[in-house]
Amino acid sequence: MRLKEKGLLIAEDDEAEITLINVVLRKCGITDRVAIVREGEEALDYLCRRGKYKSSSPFSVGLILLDLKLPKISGLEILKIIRADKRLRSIPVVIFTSSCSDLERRECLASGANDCMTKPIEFNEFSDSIQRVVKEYLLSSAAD
Amino acid sequence: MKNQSNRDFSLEIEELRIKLDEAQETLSAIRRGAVDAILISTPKGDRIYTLKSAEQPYRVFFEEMNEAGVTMTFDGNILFSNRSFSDLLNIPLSKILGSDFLTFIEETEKDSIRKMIARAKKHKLSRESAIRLADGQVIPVNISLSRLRTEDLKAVCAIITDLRDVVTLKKLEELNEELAVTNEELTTTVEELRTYQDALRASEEAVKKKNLELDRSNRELEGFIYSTSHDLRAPVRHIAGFAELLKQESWQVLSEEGRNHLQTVSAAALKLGIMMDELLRFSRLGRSEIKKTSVDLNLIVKNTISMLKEGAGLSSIDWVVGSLPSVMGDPTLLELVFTNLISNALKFTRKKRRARIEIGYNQNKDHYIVHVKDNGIGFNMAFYDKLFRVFHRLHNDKGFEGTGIGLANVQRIIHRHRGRVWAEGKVNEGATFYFSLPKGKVS
Repeated sequence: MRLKEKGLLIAEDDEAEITLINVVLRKCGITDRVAIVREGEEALDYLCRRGKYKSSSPFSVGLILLDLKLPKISGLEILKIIRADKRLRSIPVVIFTSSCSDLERRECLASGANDCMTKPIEFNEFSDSIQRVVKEYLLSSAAD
Repeated sequence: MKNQSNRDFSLEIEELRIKLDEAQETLSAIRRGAVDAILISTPKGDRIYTLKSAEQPYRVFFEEMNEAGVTMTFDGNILFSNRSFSDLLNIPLSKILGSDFLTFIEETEKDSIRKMIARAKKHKLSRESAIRLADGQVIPVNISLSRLRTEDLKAVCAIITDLRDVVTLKKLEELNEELAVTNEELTTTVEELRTYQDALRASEEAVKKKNLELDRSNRELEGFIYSTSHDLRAPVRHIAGFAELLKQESWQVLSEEGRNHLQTVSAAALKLGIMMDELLRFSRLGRSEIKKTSVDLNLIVKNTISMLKEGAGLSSIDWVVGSLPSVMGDPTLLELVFTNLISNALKFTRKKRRARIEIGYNQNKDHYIVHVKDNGIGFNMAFYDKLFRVFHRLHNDKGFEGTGIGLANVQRIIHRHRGRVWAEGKVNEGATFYFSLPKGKVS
């Protein structure tokens, strides 16, 4: 799998989680056009090309994998800010969380999340779930 | 005119003088003891009642008094009777005089009265007795006997008092007394009742308060389980994930023992993860809203069986599925109930050569009672109280997989539908699980 046009932005603060996700992506051969941010604010900086991303030339984001439990600004708040922003609102956002209640899930979907996934316990299932969304949002848009 | 009045006046004086003379003569006769009379002194002077003048009032008194009075010989032959006695008996005086007093006395009383008359020579006697009236009616009376002491007559006087009014009065008094007692008792009872009521109200309040507290602490506990399960899920997932990575990347460099340890870590993490997910689900069953609609249980059972059949190659199973009612309930949750019960039945009949699973229902006034029965390995009723507990299992992992939350889920769902779950089992002979659902209006 190679991401040609648009890249993947992952908002995740847990290092163990990041390691596991990176292993999955590496296995699929996705090595570039992947950015990882560890705070909600940083995700917004990346998307709006400001702060430490001001001078860099980041790729255009085709999918955001958003954890809900982020420090400072929560995933749900980030989602709402993105959906309220004219320039960002069309970017697909998939919530990828360790666990969430029915209420949180409903709120995420109502706030404009494209999907809300709970990270599976079993590693292979976890790997499959990441590959599935990457294929759905990044490869199909690349094929368009 | 003047002469005339003078003559009248002297005539009057003459008359008064004669009367005075007569009176003085009587008075001196009484004083001499020549005449029986009563002399009563009053501030206005002495007044004399001679026996002759006193006799008449006595007769009249005896004749006119309300009590019946009779005089008789000591043999009981009636010498005289007053009108009251005749009126009481409703027998003419002519038939009373000269007859035996005992003829008017009630049969069982005759002996006593006969003896009493004989004893009246010496004593004043009184007895509650009974007389028979002309129409045969027997009435209660009081008979007082006393000897008449006259020089020429040896007789007994009997005063007969009608006790009917007295009896009624007595009864009334008794009743009144009883009523008073009852009233008092009633007042006490009412007071006690009021006390009980107060106590009851107080304990109801206490129960309500306790229930609220229990509810709150239950909710807190649920919340705690829920959030803890959430929070613990990530580290568990990491253990499972990294164990897997280790397997994939370092399997070759691990010793045989090291590989076994890694397998154990991996399996334990997975199991822990599954248990936590089940706990979350269980917790959610207690928290989530129940959306009740009309549910055809036939349809649910049909879907459940076909779904379970897909999952496993089920061959030699005798399904005996009777027709089931439609109930008000949450279809998703009720399907979960049947999935749990039927998959349990499948699991525990797996080792039977000929498995038989029966699904049907009964009903009483308010509830449908659905059962799922199998001829599997059953269970020991001694461990019944562990059957519906979270993560409690009556059979080991080796023979039968599972975490032990299925029946806890069933119970929780049925409780939330205001029903009840119970079971019967016998080792190696099978188990029957029952659940009741309230009959409600099915739209």
